[in-house]
Amino acid sequence: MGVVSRYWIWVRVIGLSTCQSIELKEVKAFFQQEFPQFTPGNDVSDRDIQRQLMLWLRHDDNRRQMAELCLRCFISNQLRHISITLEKNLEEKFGKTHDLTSNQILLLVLDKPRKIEEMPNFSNASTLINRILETFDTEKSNLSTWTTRIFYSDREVKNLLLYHGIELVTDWMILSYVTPVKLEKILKNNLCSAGEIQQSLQLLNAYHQIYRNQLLQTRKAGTKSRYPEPTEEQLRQIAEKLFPNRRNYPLDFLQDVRNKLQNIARFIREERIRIRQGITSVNPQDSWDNIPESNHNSEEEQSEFSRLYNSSFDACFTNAVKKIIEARITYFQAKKTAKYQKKLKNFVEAMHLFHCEGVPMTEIAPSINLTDQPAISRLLELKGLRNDIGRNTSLCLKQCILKLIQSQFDDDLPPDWELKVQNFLDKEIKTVIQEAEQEARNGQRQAMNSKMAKAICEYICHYLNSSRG
Amino acid sequence: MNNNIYDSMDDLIDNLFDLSDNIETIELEPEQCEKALQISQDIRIERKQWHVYLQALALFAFAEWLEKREPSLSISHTVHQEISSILKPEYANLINAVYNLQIGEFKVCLIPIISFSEDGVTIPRAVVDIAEFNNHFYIVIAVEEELEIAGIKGFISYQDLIKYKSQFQLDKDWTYQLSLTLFNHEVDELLMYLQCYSPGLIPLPAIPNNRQTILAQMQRQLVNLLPQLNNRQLWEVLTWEQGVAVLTNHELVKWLYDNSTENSQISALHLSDFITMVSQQAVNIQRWLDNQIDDVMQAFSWQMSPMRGQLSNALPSSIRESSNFSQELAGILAEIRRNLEIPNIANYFHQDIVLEVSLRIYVIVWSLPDDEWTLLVVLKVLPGNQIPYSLNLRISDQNEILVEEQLQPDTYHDYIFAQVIGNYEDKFLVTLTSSNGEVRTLNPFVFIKE
Repeated sequence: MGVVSRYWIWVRVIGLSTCQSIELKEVKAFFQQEFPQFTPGNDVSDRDIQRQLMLWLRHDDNRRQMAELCLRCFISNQLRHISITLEKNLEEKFGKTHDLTSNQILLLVLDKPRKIEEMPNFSNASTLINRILETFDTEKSNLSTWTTRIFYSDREVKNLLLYHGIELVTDWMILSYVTPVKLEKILKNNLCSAGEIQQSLQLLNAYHQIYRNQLLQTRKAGTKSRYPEPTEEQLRQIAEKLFPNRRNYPLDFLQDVRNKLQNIARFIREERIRIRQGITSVNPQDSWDNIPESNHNSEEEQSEFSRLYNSSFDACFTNAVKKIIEARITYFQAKKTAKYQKKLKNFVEAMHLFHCEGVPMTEIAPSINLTDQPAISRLLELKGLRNDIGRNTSLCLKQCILKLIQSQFDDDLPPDWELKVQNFLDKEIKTVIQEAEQEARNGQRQAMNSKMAKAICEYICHYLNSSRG
Repeated sequence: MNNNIYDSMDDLIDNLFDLSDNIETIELEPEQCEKALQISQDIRIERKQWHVYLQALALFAFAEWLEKREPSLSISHTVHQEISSILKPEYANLINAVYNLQIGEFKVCLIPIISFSEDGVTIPRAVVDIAEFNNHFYIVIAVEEELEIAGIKGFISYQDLIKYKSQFQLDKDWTYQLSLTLFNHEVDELLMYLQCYSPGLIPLPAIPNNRQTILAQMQRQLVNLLPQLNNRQLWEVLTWEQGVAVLTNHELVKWLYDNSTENSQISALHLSDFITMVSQQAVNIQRWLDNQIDDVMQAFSWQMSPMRGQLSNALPSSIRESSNFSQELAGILAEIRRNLEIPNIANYFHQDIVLEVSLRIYVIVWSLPDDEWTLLVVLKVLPGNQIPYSLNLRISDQNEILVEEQLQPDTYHDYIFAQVIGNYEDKFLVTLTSSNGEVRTLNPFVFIKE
C-alpha cells in the first residue's frame, strides 16, 4: 500500500551530486486515465497495479512505453526510500554514520540523464534499475520488496557499503562458512534437542554439497553474484538429499526447507553478535616492547655518535622516501590496465596537492574527479605509505649503525644488541611518522612542514619534472 | 499466492555489520580469481573445492599486498610458478590453511575467512600443535570474492599464539576457535617483522625424530580405522594422536588422497604394506649390486653369497663357506629359467627365518636397461620340514599389491618365487603370511643412486 504519485514522480540525479524529484505530466495523465479508481492520497493495491503494468509492458504495444515509465518511477522512489532508511538505520544501529549519506547511495543507484528534459529509458537508466525491471516477476514478489532485494544484492552497493566499513552478511554466506562442528556447538548452547541438532546438521551438509559446489560452478560461468538466494532448483536438490523417498517437492515444501536453513542461520548470526559484544581486547605486542634501550658509553662518544647517526638518518630517510614512492609508481605501472594508469595519474597528482600545496583531502577529491574523501584516502593509503617509508629507513639505518658500532667497539657485543638497535630505531621512526600524521590531521590549507611531507613533496616534484621533461 | 518463495524478506538491517577496524583493501585481479577457481576444480574431493578456492584467493591477495607494500619481500613470482606445491592438494584437503609459505627466512600461515566483519576465526589444530606445520606468523585474510577484494584482518606470532592457547576453544573437528582480538591489527607491523627482524626471535619447536617409530606402532590401529573413512573426515575416525601420525607422513597423506575417490574402497592389506614401507628403514638395492654390505643390511640379517663357480677372491672368506646354499639356489634358478629370463648373476642374498616351519629366503637383484631394476624373491622350505598347509608370498609397491604367490602341500615344488620390476622411484615390500595368519615382513627395498 502506498502513495500513487510514486508511479509518476521520477527521482533522478542531476549534475554531479544533486538528487531531484520531478513529476512526469504525461505519465501522470496516463496513470490516472488507466487507473481512475486510484486517486492521490488514497491507499492503492500496488500488487494489482504492478501486475497490470507488467502485463502491458510485456504484451501491449500501445501502452508499453507508458507502463515502463510508471514502473521506473516507482523503482526510483523505492530506492530513495531504501537509501534514507538505510542511513537512518545505520546511525541507530551503530551510533555513527560511517560517513555514508543517503545522497551518496542515491548517486550510485539512480538514473543520471544527460539532459534535463530526457525521460527515463533503458539507455540512460542505472544498470541497477534496469536489472530490477528485467528480473521482476509479479507472481513471485511485489516491486518494492523486489527492489530492496536487488538493491542489497548489488555489487556496487555492497562495495560502497564496505568501503564505508559496513558489511552485508547474508544468511547464505553465514551458512556457507559455518562448519558442522561449530553449528552443533551453537545449537547445543541454544538448548536444541539431539533430534533437532541431527536434522540441522543433515540440512547443513546437504546445503554445503549443493549450494557451495554450485557456487563455484556459477563463478566459473562468470557470474559475480555473491552468495545469492538459493534457487528453487537448489532447494529441490537439497530436499532430495534429505528426503530421497518423496515423490514430489511442492513449492511450500521447498519454502519450508528454506525457512529451516534461515532458522539455522539465525542461530549462527546471534552467536556472531554475541562474540562481537563479548570481546575484550588484549595487546599481543607486549613481548616486543619490553626490551630496554641501549645506553651510550660516554658523552664524547655520544656526540660523535649522534653526528654520524643524524647524517645517516637523513640519507636513509631520503632514500626510503624515494624507494617507496618509486615502488608504488612501479606497482601501478606494471598493471598496464587503463584503470591503473588512471590511478597512477591521480596518485601522483593527489600526492602533490596534499604534500606540496597542503590541500585538504576533502578538496582534493573533486579536483581529480573522485567522489569523496574516503576514495582519496584509499588511493593514497598514507598510513601504509608512511609505515613503509619508516620501515625502510629503519632497515637502512640499522645497517649503518651496526657498522658504526662495530668500528667503535672492539669488545664483544651483548647477544641481543641487534634487537636493541632495532627497538631504538623503531621509536625514532615512530616520532617522524607521528609528526607527519599530526600535521596531516590539521587539514589546514598551508604548506606542510614535517620531515616526511617535505621529503615526499621533494620526490614527487622531481618525478613530475622528469616525467614532463 | 502465499506460496511464493521470495516474499519472506528479512529485515535486512540485521544483515549489516560494521567493521571494527579500518582495513586496507587489496584488489584482486579477475585473472587471479579465475586461477583460484581453476585450482579448486582440480581438487578431486568435491566438498573440499570451496576451501581450496578460498585458500588460493587468500594466497593471491597476500602476494599482491607484498608486491605493493614491500616489493623486496614479494612472492608473486614463486606463487605464480609453484602454486600447486604451495597448496598441496593432498593437504589442502586436510588442513584448511595455506601454511609453510616462505617469506624470506620466515614461514607464514594464511587463514582465509569470508567476511570482513567476522570477529572469530577457525584455525586448524595441525598448524598450532604439529611442529611440521608451525609457522612464525599466522595471518587471517578476509576474502570478498564477489567484490574481488581482500584484506588482512590481523596476524599473530607463534609465540603469542602459544601464549594465548588456553583461551582457544578446541573442537572435535581438530580446529581451534579463537577471537580475532588476540591478533595484531596493525598489519604494517607484520611487514616490519618480515623485513627487519630475524626469525630466530620466534623459535619454533623442533620436529620430533620419532615420527616413523610412532607410525609403525600405530600401524595395526590405522590399518583397522582408515578403511572405515568412506568419505568421512580423519577426525571422525581417528584420535588426535593417530591423526598426528598420519598428517606428519607426507607419503601416507598422499596415499590416502590418491585412494579416497568417491567410490573406491581402501584396501586394508595394501594400506598395511604401505605403512610399513613409509615407516621402516629401507635397504638400498643399489649397494647390493655393488657388492657392498652396509649396516642396514646387517641389521636386517641379510647375508651375501656368490653363486657357485663364480667365487671371487675379492669376497670375504666367510662368504665362501655358504657355497652349498648357492648350489641349492642354482638348481632352483635353473628351473625358473624355463619361464623367466635371468642373467648370469654374481651374488645373491639370503636369510633363514621360522614362520610355522623353517624357511630360507633368497633375494636376487639385477639391473635392467632404461634405469629399471628387478627383484626376484625365492621362498624355500628348508630340508627336513613338512611343506606347510599354505604359505603366502606378497609383494607390494606404493600403489598396489603387485603379486601374490601361494605354496601348498599338493604342489610339486618346495619353493615359490615372485618377480617385480621397478624404476628409481619405486619401493617394494615383501610380506610372508603363514596358514595360521602369522605375518613376517621384510625390510622395504628401494633403489637410490648414491
